[in-house]
Amino acid sequence: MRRGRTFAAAAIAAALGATAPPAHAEASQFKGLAAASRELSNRIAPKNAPLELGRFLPGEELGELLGTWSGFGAEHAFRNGAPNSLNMVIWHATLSRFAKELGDSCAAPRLALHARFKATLGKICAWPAAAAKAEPVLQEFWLSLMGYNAPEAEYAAWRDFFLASYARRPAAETVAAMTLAITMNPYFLLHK
Amino acid sequence: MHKALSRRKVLKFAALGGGTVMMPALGARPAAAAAEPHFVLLVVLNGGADPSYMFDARPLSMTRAGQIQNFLGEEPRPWRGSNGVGALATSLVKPLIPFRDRFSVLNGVVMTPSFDGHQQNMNFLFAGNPFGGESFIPHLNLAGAGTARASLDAISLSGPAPINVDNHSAVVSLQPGAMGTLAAKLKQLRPVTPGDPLHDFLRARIAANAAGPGRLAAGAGEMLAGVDGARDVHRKLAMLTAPSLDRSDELQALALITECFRLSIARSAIYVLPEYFDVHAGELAKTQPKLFASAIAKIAALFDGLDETPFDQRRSMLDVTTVMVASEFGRTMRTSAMPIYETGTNHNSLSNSILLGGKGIRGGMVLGASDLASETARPSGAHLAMDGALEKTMGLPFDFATLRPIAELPDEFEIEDHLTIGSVINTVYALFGVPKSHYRALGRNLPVAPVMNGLLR
Repeated sequence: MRRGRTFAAAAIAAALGATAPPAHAEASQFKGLAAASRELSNRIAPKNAPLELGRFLPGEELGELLGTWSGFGAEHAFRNGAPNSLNMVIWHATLSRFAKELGDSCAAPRLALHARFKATLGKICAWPAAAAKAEPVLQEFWLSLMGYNAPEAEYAAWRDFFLASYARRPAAETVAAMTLAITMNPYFLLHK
Repeated sequence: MHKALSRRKVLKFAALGGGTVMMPALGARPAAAAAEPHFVLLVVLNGGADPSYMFDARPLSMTRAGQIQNFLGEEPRPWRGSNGVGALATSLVKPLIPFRDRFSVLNGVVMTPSFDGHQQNMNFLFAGNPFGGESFIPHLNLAGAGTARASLDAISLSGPAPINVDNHSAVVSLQPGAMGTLAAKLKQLRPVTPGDPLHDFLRARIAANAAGPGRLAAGAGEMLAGVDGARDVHRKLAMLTAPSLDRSDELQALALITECFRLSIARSAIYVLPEYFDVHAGELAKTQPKLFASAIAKIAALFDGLDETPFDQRRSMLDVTTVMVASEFGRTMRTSAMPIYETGTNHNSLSNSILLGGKGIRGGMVLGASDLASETARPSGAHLAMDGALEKTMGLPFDFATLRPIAELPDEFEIEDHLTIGSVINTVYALFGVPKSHYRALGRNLPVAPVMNGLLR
């Protein structure tokens, strides 16, 4: 039995030993399905027919795994927002299905879209024609989905990739891929 | 144990809704998790469960003397450990008797002596720090920690654990009911494929944004780790057999845990039981016999399910799974100013009880003890310093060489003299070969909490 330190010292030591958590940056979490849906809906869907990304989920109840608010008593906390392999699978599956519907909308409307975005989509759906590759058209499509969340360098990287790698691909495939590339970007999915 | 697979086990397992164990023979499933599979099931008793209703009971004479509430109203019986250390246990633990050789009872475990809040002590249980930090669960899935890494650090069967930690990004909440649809859909979907130009572009943007400081970069870093593991998780989840939904919650949970362990989806599983043990009010305290009966039945069902479910053709799930049952703290014997038959109980971080069993753990023992075991027991000076009102029990000093409590009455509280949650976690770390850099210290400028080597097989 060791002696010499008082209880007070031990208690203080224990308290000090309980130092603050390790000093690394707190990581941004996913916005969650509801917030991502709301943002996209505001940007591309008519007010009377909001876009619900939940319909593209690969299974019921999985939306909660993408980040959700949950309450316990008077407390409210955001849960499941930290990125991991499982929610990346679910985001990818969900957004791939949404992106495919948007790409397929080049041929026939598959989603309720507001008039301005319909016009934007009409222009990009001319791909691979040169008109669809014009800077204003690409920028308009990017901003329609991403909003002003991302820095210009993100847009430039996206634009350059599609001009180089999808130059001759059909419109539906390209628009779907463009949509997925925007919506899987950290600036779209994460809280800033 | 390496038991042969009995017909009963096969039938019972099939009833549980699992299926992967039979699949290697059919050539449709991958080999089981690793050469030496080892998993963890952490069962959490949320709210601070009173050890006196399980394996650290007190005689009724103490209740008659007004010292400790006992709403069970029965005289507890001796529970003798195979190591010669005893405790008193209530009749409520009866469902666990068939498994008494598969787990050991750790009594008198000191949590954080300086805080008595739920979240602070739950943080202390998981992270060794009342304010949060790094949880021990992901450390069990580190590269080089004894076995091949699983895709996820853990699954949580009851929503996120009520803690504040910063390394649980790969601890994922799964609900048995949602898994069948997910597996079916994932079978139809093409997983993310490295080498595909679009996938490589997506990954490159995430990686570019993960470089540098700031919260978004840290989040993108977690996305990058996630996307790199996504293909593997997609493939494994698509193979998952969903639990049958007409089973009890515990058996559904167990079936999902089994699948996730067998497919190496997760190293650990966290199961927070639905019973809530925070019984400050007398009326709530009176519900404890029912609360514990319900919770213990679930724990017994989990032990039974693990024991009866084959991991492979040689081993049961219990043979490959270390099981820990813990609460954030124990409870006081009573509250002040209330008659003993009307009293509730408050938080007690000076004495907790933990069950540790399954793979790698010597079962059947009782380690540690708490003080004030009878109405005539004298408190130590250390106890009076920590709890002058004598409302709490406190872990007795502990001899780590013999794993026995020391019947001394020290004048001062020295954390090194006690069995602490730090030692429990470090013992689990030793079992998993976790690097010593992660071992918990007893406090700043205090030594690492000793490993209980005698508890390990």
